[in-house]
Order: sequence, then C-alpha cells, then structure tokens
Amino acid sequence: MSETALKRNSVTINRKYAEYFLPTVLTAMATNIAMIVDSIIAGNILGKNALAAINLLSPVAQLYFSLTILFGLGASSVIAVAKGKNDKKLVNRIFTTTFIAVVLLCVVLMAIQLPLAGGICSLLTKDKVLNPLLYQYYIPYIIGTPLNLMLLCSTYFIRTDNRPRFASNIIIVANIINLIMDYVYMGVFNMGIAGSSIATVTGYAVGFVMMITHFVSKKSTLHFDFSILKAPKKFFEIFSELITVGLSGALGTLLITVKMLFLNWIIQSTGGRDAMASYSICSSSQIFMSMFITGASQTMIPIVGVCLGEKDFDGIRYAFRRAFTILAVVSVVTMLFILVAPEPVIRLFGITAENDIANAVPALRINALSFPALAFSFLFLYYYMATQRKTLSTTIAVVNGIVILIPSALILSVFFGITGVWISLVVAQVGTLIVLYFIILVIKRKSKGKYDSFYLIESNDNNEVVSLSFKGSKENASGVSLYLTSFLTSHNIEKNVANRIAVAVEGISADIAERTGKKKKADIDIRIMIDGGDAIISIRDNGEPYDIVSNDSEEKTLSEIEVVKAVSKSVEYSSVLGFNRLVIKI
Amino acid sequence: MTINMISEDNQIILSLSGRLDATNAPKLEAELKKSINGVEKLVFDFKELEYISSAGLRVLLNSQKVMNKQGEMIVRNVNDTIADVFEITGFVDILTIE
Repeated sequence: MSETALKRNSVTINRKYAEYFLPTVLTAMATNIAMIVDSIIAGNILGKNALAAINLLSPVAQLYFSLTILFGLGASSVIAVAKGKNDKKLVNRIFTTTFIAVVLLCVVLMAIQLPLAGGICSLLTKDKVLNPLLYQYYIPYIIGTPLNLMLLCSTYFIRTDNRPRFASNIIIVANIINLIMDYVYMGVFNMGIAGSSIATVTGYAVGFVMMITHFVSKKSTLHFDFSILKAPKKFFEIFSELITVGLSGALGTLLITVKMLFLNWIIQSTGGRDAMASYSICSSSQIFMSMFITGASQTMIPIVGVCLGEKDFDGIRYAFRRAFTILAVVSVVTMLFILVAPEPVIRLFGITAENDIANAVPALRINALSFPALAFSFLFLYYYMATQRKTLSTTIAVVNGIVILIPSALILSVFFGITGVWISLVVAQVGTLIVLYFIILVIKRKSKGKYDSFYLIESNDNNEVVSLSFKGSKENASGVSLYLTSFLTSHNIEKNVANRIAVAVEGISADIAERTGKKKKADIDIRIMIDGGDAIISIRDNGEPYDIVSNDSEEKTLSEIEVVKAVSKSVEYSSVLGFNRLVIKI
Repeated sequence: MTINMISEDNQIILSLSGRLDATNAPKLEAELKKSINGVEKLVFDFKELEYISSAGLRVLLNSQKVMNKQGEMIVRNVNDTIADVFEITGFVDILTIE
C-alpha cells in the first residue's frame, strides 16, 4: 500500500454528502411548494380572488415553516451530535422532548387560532371579497396543524436517521396527493377554496402515515423515552438546547418574510408598480438560489453534527468544503448567467414590453451580484448552527435579515432612487460577510490560539495521534497494521499497546473487507486518540450496516471480533448516518 | 512473511519470519494443509516473527485442534509483543509455548 494512502481523506464524508444532497434539495423544494401548488390550481379553477386569498395566508405559512425549522432542524442537529457521541439515551430523550414540545405547540396554535381565526383574517385583509375566502381556506389549515408541523419536523429526523430519500419521498408524495385532491375537492366536489386547504391536509395525512412507518420500522434508531418526563430539569435543558440551536435557522427564515414585507413597501414607494414587477423576478431568482443554499447547507448539518460529536474535526472541514464548493459553483454560474443574459430570464416571467425589460435588467443584474455572498452568508449561518455556535449563527440571521438591509435601502434609495434599493440587496449580503469576518477575528483573538481559522474548531483533537483513510481490502488491512505498529512506537506509544492497536485495526479492517467483497470496497476512516491511560480507536466504514459486536460470526473458529474483544477493554458499535462505527478502547 | 519448513520423520519445524497477518495467513494455512497429515509433532519457531494478527491466531488455533488429535504442537521463541497477544487472548492456555 502506498505511503500517500496512509493519510486521512474526504472520501467517506464526500460520498455521504452526495447521498444526502439531492434528497435534501428535493425536500427543500417540495416543502415550500404546497401553497404554490394550491394557489396555482385554485387560481385556475376558482379564479384570481382564490389565488389572492391563498397568498394572503403566506405569513402564517411562513411562521409554521419557521417553527418546523426551529424544532425539526434544531432537534435533529442536536441529535446528530449526540449520535456522534454514541449517546443513545440522549438521542431518544431529545427525540421524545421534541415530540412532546411539538404536540403541545400544535395544541397551543390550534387553541389560539381557531377562536381568533376571524380576527386574524381581518388583520391579513380588509377586502370584503377576499376575507371570507381567506377564512374558508384558513380553518382547515388550522385543523391540519398537527399533521403539518409533525410531518415537516419528522422529515429532518428521518434524514438524520440515514433515510434522506425516504424523507424527500414523503414530502413529494404529500404534494402529489395535494395536487390530485385539489382537483377532486374543488373540481369534482365543488368544495370551493376550503377544498384546496383540505387537499393540503389530506396530502399531509398520507405523508404522516408514511412517516409513522419509518418510526415503527427496525430502520429507525429513534425511540420514545418518556422517562424524560420524570426528570423535568433535564426535559427543559434539552428543550432549551434544541430551541437555541434551531433559533438561527428559524429566525433566518422568518426574517426573509420581514425583509420581503419591507422591500415590498420601499420598492412600491420608490419605484412604483414597474419596480415591483422587477422585484418579483429578483425574488424568484433568489428562490432558485435558496433551493441550493438550503439543500447544500442542510445536507451538511447532520454530517457536521455527527463529526462534532465524534470530535472528528477533519470530517467537519470536509463537509463544509463540499457545501462551499457546490454553493460557489452554483452561485457564481447563476450570477454570470444573469449578468450576461438577463433578458431571457425576464421574458420567462411574461414581461415582453421593451420599457419593462429595460427597467428590470439593472435590477436583476445588481441583485445577481449578491448571490455568492447570499449563499455564503446562509452557509455560515447553518455551519455555526451545526457546530452549536448559537449566538454567532443567530447574529448572522439578524444581520443578514434586517440590520444592514433596512438602513442601507433607506439611505441608498434617497441618493440613487430605486437603483439604490437594488444596490442595498448586495450591500446586505456582502456586509453580512464583512461583519462576520470581524466577529470571527475577535473570537479567534480571544481564543488565544485555540482556533486558527473561521471553522472555529480546534485545529485538531489534541488527543488525536493519527488519522487515516483507506479502501477496505485485506492487503490494505495488513499494510495499515504495519504502518501503525511503526508509527505508534515512534510516537512514544508503548510497544505492546501499539501492537494491540495494530491487531485490532487489522482484524476489523479485514472483517470489513471480507463482508463488503471485492467489487465494491468500503471506505474506512481510522482515528487513534490517547485519552488518559487509554488508547481509543475510532473505526468508521461506509459498507452495509453491520453490528459486528452483536453479530459475532459462528462460522469461524476464532472471529476477528473475538480477538478484538480480547485485546481491548471495550468495543462499542453504533450506526450513525449509515456509517458503521466502532469505538475500541485499549 | 517467509516460511521455512524442515520436515523430518513425523516432525515438522516451521520457522516464520516477518508478519503473520491477514494477507500472509492463508499462505501458511495452505502450507500446513499440504503437510500436516500424519505429522506427530509440529513446531512453530517464532524467533524471526514480528507480529501476529487475528488471522494468524486462527491458523494457530486450527493447527492446534488438528495436532490435539494426532500428536503435539509447540510454539517456540515468541517475542514480547506476540507473547502479550497470546496472554490477553488466552492462547497461553491453549498452546504449548516454550
């Protein structure tokens, strides 16, 4: 085996990232699509008033969406870290706490909204035609609250439970059912606009049943542990942890609504209806970007969380770099495309008058300049959320959402008119990165050398002696054991301990090679740490899930795991994000 | 790993050098399969052997099982690290180590 192979590489992390990316993008797309589908179909069947009434409920829908990020993404991030630490009890307790909290939240939301639905509708519109339509749409929406929130929250859990495709399938199926039932309820049964809302709830109900099949299946690693109710202090500790972790993501989403409301106002007052048309196109192009931003960032979150729990700092960097590369490519390509050819994009939205196109071109071009910074701002927001730097990620959400945008739009619009507003979109994103740069600088300085980069993680686990990756083959297993014997003894590890480590690593690696066969070799990451008087070996592979500790082979006279158990103090197996992970203490 | 085999009457002396690991163990196993029939005394000389893996231990255990039925098996000149592995895996109770 070559010397260069005896280094840690990003193969396992990158493959896991690739496996999660597309389903996460699809989930992000589909999650937002229910109301768009409703409004398009209702508009076609019932007319433009129905379309307007459904869109009026956007702030409530956005609030619900933020709540699912708060609880779903927040809790699944905390669960990923606990899974990395192999703390199964904590994992189940976080899951149970979130379930209880979401059930209570649904009860509260329904109890508040049902009696106040009329008043809330009046707040959203004074229009006498739209108000009753909105009310008819709103009531089934409120009744569907438990299905809506629990379903969307659970998709984050299912993804962290290594079933990203199933999570995205649930949302896609729910939306297809919604689409079909829209036609059935409104077209066949003439249920009016309420039919549209009931169709959404029907879709969620089907998704809910699919979701339950995951949690009752053997594939689920998340189980209820209601003993948490006997420990109220622990319950609130977990509750507060998941809320604070999820807050930045939820706030980021919620502030998008605030930002849109503010921009609607300032653009209408500065540039009038024509400028609003330009802004609609800018918004749509941002939604296109958001799909990738959410996909790339949320793919990273469970991987970073697990690596953080395992103290695998190299793994964290690999996952971040992968997300960064994807976003850099997508944002720069999209930006360049719009800069070079904005007109086809504008025509796509049905704007054909030369004057309207001339107005929209500078808006679209200036807005496109913000894409790379927009992508990186949200990437950092989610990265610091995943690494549990709650204050920093929340700060990014607030700075990005309102702190820079509102004053810069107000000031620049005075000097440059509507162009000033477009420029403020760029200023807000670039400004966020500049503010972030200085905050990181301060944190690094205060850390007195603990952090040497924007990752804000220790440059390496101080206890880590060696970290390497290789393909699972018997030849490589032997090669690695040879390498480890010489490397560890030359790094002041006692000869017998080094030998036991080599025997354990070779045994497990050879077993992985034997199980995965010759065609598709597993990728193996090995890290060796010294903790007090113990040597800790962490072995992670991306072969088929297999609990070697519990499924001791009886075919062999002396199995690998029997020898490993004999040479070690303890061996623990866990399946995290579909990786097999063994922690061997020697 | 190199295997040096001396066969005399009903006795075999196998001198191993290098590493008896997952890659080399099948080679030793094959060698033993060929020559162990009818042998009454099997001696492993580990003077030059630096390392033994679980695959190597398995070969020793299987050989011991065979030799229990047809004679005796002795392991000689074991170095400290291999002796440590024999000790913690309980092989000291199974093998005859000189």
